[in-house]
Amino acid sequence: MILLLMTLGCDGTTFRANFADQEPALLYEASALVDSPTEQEELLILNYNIKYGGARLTFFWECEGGRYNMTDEEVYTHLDNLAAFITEVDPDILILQEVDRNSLRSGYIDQTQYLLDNTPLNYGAYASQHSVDFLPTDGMGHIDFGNAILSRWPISESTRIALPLVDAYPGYYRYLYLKRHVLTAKIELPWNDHFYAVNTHLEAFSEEDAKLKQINVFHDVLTQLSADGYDWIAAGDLNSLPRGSERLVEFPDDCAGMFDADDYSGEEAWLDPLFEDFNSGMDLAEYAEDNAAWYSYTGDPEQGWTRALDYIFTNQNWANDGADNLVMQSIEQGGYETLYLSDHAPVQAVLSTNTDGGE
Amino acid sequence: MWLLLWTGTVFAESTQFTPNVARTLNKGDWSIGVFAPLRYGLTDKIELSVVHPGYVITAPHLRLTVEHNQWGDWSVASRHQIGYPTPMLRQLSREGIGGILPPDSVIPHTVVSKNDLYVGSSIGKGELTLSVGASLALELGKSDYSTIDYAYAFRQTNLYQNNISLQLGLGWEQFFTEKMGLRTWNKAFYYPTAEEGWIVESRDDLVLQISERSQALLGVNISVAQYPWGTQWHAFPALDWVWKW
Repeated sequence: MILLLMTLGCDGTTFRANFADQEPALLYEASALVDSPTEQEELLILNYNIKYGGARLTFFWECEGGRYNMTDEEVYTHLDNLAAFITEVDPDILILQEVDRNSLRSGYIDQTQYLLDNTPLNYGAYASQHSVDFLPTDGMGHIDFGNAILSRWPISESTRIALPLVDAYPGYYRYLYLKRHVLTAKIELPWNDHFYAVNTHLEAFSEEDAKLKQINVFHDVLTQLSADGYDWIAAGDLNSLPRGSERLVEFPDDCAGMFDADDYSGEEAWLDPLFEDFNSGMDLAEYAEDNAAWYSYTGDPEQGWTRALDYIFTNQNWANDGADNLVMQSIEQGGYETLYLSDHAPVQAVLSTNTDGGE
Repeated sequence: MWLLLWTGTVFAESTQFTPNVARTLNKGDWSIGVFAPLRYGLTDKIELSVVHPGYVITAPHLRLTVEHNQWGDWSVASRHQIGYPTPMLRQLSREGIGGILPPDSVIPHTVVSKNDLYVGSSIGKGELTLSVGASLALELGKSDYSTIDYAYAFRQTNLYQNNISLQLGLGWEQFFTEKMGLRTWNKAFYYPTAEEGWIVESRDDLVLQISERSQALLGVNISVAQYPWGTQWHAFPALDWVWKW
């Protein structure tokens, strides 16, 4: 009967797994607000995929992983570690991917609210990329996870813009599978009333050209913001490698025999429009010289970071010509040991608030 | 269906088809539906039943309904169920599609007893039924698995893990013609020891008396419950065909 309802499109009464093409995102506020500066010369931006507070637990979908649901103690410990790190770095705007909101696997904790309540950040916007009342697969049950933007200053409006789905998947699978999006949030900077932060997390696997279509929509959203006269920073886990990558396949953290190995061959030019049309936090020439310095992901901490997947762009200017932008990989590079906080490393960029001379 | 309805010639005693009333099946009678319970009148005052033959295979259980002496205009019956849901829960714990519970769930032997008192009376042209009851669950051994946070299943697993629920029922059935009527059965569950404390379910049907021996139901199931992440409702169409012989 439930399958029949799904087929007939009765989503609102059964699993509630669909989204509108555009819909308002959820807005948050910390339980206690912290005073925020009324002017700054720079904005510290942090982009971070936090793996829904899973740290380095290996889940069933990972190499040799066997975990399904975390205990409450595990979730709180991991979130406290993330909150301590964020508090120490003290970003002005924090862009997060893979944030859980009341999911069974992470103890039904609203992670956006928890991080707001345990860091100096005051306001948040959240949009789901996988919301299903009950996911009857691997005991996942109730799930809601997505992306969030946290800020010192109020967020006056926020929108979830749907990205193209993976056409290659069968209908029932597509219905219950992740639905990617671009999250936009208008942040009311005291000195700038036309500023947006943008977040996305693109398809992990390049089934047909789904990821390319998503990159193009992400690019279109940013282009439109610029055309409308907004200043913006945009960040995300793009699950793509940039031009100049020395390795596109056979990564040291591949899981031989268990999963299909990641292969980015043929995708080398997919990110070009983003790098050509906007200011990237990562300089492509620097990347070409030393790929490893910009690696922001590894599936196996014993192998160290293995590839660059996480990026920040702007239509403005980076402070100090981008010299402060980096991937916070370790004590040596970034000042913190981040390898065990998540399967991604946080990416830092420092934006100049002098709006003259942007793209 | 409409042809059958209007050419039918016999009007049966409708409440004999109704599972949640303060009456039992007549001695020797059987009743079953596509989704409705399998029932058997052991005597005129005692009925044996299972929720469904398919369900009893994976979650062994038996229900005994006893019709007591009339109390004024009210008929009185009590229903007692004993069950062992552990095999079903363990089947639901698996990898991949169909994995309702995680494969690493630790599911103990669980014994469940459900007991309800039903009173019913004819009021005007309708039949009113009220029920009150309590359910108890006993887990034997280590238990470490999540509740199934979805309509109808949550009611069960919330009981298994919190040991007790109290329930109230309210039903009404009325035929407007010989062959067409309405039936509603509503039940509220309260879990005094659980963080998620309440569930309300409603089943509302258009009842079509096809013949003396069969009835068709077309309606809706609605469930509203307090889940670990908040209150949520679900609604499903309800279709059934019930036979009695």
